[in-house]
Amino acid sequence: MPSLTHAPVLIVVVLLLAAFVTPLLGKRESAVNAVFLGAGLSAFALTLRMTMQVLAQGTLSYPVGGWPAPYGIVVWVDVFAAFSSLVIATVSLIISWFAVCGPREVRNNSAYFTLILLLTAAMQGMVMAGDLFNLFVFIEISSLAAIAIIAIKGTKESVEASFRYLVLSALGSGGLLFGIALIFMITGHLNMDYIRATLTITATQYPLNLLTAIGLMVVGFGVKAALFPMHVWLPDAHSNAPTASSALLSGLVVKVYIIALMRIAYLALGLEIFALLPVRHLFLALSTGALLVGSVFAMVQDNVKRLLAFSTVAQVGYIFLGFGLFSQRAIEGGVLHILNHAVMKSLLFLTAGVIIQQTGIKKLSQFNGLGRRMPLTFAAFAVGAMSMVGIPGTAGFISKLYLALGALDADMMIFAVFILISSLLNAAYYFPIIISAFFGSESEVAATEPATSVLAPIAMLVSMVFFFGLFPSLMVPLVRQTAHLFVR
Amino acid sequence: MDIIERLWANIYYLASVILFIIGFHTMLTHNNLLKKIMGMNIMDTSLFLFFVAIGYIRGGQAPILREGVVQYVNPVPSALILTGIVISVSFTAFALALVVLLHRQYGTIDADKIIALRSKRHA
Amino acid sequence: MQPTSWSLTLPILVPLFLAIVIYAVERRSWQLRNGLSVLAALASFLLVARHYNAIMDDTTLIAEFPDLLPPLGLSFRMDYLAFLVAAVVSFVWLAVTIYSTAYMVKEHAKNRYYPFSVLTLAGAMGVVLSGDLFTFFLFFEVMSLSAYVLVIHEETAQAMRAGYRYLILTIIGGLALLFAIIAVFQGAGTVAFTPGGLPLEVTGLTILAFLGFLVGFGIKAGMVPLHVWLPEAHPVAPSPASALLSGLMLKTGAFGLIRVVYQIFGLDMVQRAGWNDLLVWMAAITVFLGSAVAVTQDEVKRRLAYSSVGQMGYILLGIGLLQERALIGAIFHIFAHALMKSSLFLAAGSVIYRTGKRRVSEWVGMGRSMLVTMTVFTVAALSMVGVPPLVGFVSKWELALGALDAGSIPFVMLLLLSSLMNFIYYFPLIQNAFFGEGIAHVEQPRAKRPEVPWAMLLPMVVLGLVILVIDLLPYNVALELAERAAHALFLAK
Repeated sequence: MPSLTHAPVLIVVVLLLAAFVTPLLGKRESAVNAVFLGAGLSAFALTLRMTMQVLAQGTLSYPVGGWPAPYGIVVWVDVFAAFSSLVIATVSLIISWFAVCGPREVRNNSAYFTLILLLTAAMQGMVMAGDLFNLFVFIEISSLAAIAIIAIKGTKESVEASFRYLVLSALGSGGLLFGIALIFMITGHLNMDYIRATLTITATQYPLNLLTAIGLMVVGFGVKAALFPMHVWLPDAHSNAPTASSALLSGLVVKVYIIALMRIAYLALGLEIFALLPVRHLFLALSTGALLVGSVFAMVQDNVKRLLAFSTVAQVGYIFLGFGLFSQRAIEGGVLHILNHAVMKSLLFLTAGVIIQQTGIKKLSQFNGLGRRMPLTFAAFAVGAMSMVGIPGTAGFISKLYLALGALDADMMIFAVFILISSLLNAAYYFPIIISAFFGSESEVAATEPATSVLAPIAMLVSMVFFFGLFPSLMVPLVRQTAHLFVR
Repeated sequence: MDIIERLWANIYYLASVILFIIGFHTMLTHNNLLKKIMGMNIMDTSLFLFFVAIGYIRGGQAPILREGVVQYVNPVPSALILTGIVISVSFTAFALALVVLLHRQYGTIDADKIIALRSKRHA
Repeated sequence: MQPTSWSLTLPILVPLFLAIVIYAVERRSWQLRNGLSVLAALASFLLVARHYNAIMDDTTLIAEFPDLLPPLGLSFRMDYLAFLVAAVVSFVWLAVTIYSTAYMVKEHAKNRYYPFSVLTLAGAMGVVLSGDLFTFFLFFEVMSLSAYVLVIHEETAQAMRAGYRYLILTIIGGLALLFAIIAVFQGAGTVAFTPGGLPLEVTGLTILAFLGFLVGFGIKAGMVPLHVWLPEAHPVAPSPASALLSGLMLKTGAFGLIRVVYQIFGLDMVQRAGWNDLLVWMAAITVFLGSAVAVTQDEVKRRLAYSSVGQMGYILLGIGLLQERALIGAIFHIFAHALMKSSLFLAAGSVIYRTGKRRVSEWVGMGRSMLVTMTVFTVAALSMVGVPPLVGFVSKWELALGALDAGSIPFVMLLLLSSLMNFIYYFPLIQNAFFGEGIAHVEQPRAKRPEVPWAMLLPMVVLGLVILVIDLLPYNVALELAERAAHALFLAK
């Protein structure tokens, strides 16, 4: 079917079109919901088809508008892009489902959904981009949308948190744009393939420009991906947002920047050039910091959403660790964790949101006994928590296993130990929540289970946690081929 | 002297970098939220200057096809920058809207004061 | 070696499935809940026992599922060792579950207890029937985590503290195991239990791996100094759960150690590296300290808990001596202690159920008021001391012979000394109960009613009978299995 060759672009277009239409529908709830979910479903179907196509036929190179490179913009869908695209489409669809059926935290749903559609469209465009400036544009759109879905909550804290996010994000974007400018300066191209080809010649002529560009891009993306120590905006931003936004931000948004950076690394720069700066060692050091600092700060939090946000800081560290270790299995682990954490963290945030909505309680010290009133909700939270700790049978275990094996492959056993220690730290702040909820003293709070329609997306995520924990073989071919893009 | 000559030849880039640093620094250190936004604008504009300077070729003509022109200026960066300016404007508009909201909620646009007010309320 | 697919996984899958079913139906019918729980244990036992002929025929049954959970895959294995341990675990679990249907009547949160008890059974069976370290680890975690719910059942402050300590140590142990498993995988490319051991060299990594195994299994088995969770956790749980924890779950740690020493590292490597020395000394300390501290405990269940620490030390010693007879002793003691300790806890539970008296000092004259219970207790206790012809004697005998084979007289002395200490902490209890001054104030049961409900009485008596009689039978099937198991492990078959 002819339309399928246009799948990469269609994904973005469908979401953008829906984003344009939604505000026009005004207050008509059912229409807004229908367009919102319909767009998400179509995007999901398209990504699925595209992924299968990429697995079967190899990389899809799509010149937008038919204009060939280097004059036109190229969309480059390789295994990594297909995988990322699929993850984004799936998880955002489930979160959107929750946003529609779940507790109402935002007054103006049509505006909210518009923003989410824009965000998703931009993320999809980002992971598939084959052109540096196109990538930049999508990065900016996603940043703006991400900031907006925090601010839309309207409370004092959320506005302040979103402004701080805006400032730091702008700094990151600035650095990023500067890096892109420097690369454009020495290669004259913005198409990633062409840049890579040109750099083999010009890299030696302008080493300083290149190094500065790489450094700026690492910092720029690092700020947006909340890599320690540039994570300081994250706890406020993710905890003061509406629940669906927190899930989107923690689960997807921070990851796409890592994906974008790594794509630039092997597509635009070429891995040898990327290695001119000791980025690997930087990743290793900073990810260790992230693991430790994220977990330590999480342990002292009383607000459940802040705890989850700090946990994200630590989990992002795992992904960077996978790329820092740079062995086949470590990268597989890091890439798998993009998926696994997206599922786990969304599950945790969504259940937390439900708990807060049903009970009015945000503080963990007041969670005692709630598990007995809302067993299904807390069971779902427990599943997410166990997956974070890395209990075998859950998705989180698989990524940690691969990362640990990868650490040993890379002859850096110490990191395997770090991974295990961080599992222990994770247990130290997740398990007490569950124990207090199920076995704690009786609570005086009136708490009931939410409606089934609210629990349905959560149940979906729970089954995905188990599914990817027991049958990871489904994702393995995608992940393995992705790792091959980096390591032979 | 060689240094001065090199610097003068790359004056646009130099100016751009200086402006970038000014904008970056302003964003980070100034407390007044409006100044932060101005810093963001300066930083973005400096990058636009950088891009456009990349495209500039001494002695080149404006990139419109016509008779008798030997050398055109590279049109690509200018086209890119138009997009970039739009992005910058959107961010500025959004940031300003947030500042208005913040002022309404906290009564001040000083970042330090806002943090103090926030922690006082949380305490 | 005949590959058999699904039948090996049934003893695990059936309880797992039933646990979910029990959770679903228990609100509607408690009879169904209790019945299904007993059924789970019974089914597990029968599904293990039916392989008896195949196993005795010298076959090792293996089931492999490499596509599940790559890169390591799952596999299951039933050889002599696994058969014996799985059979005794499911049998005792059956007895304890029948017992709990009566005991738990006085307890709260029964709807939580039963499904998690069955889930722990599924985990334990998975551990014992595992064919490689990864499968072992998976079910080990399932078992340990669901046992947490049993530990904190009472939800008192003390229970929560004990549970917290248990949980922390379980997690640390699990991580240590995971590290060790990963290191082995790195070094050998596989983690399957291979007779004779995997081709591994003694490197820094494998040394750390062995230490990881020692810590992980040691925590579970209650090896000193990693035992610190045990004396808190076992007493604080409801008595049938204590029987499960002390009688059965501890053994999985020792089981894992046997597998690792003989079928991952291999006898030769362990000997070359000198790891057995470390193990033997840790075991000896465990035997000594466990027995010594038991003497000082007034609360009966705590005394039994420390006794378990000491007894596990015997098993660890038997593994570490690297002699066939010692290994026979160790494996047989897994069987024997499972029976003995569970009977002791069930009997203690019966006393607590009737009278609420938990302290040795309060058990004065209990023998007169609860004759059957205390008789079972006495039989089991004497067996612990090692009085022939009770089952406990055989294991100590084999262990002593094994120590002699290894040429270490000190360990024989240790065995004798610890038997004496066992006597010191069991005998006064028995003497007090039967010949003590005064009668424990126990409401006399109505005429024609037994001292505790039949459901509690019967399992105790059956276990007691097995302890009494099995060594007297012309064919001691458990000993036979233990001998063959040790032989097979030694011969690397």
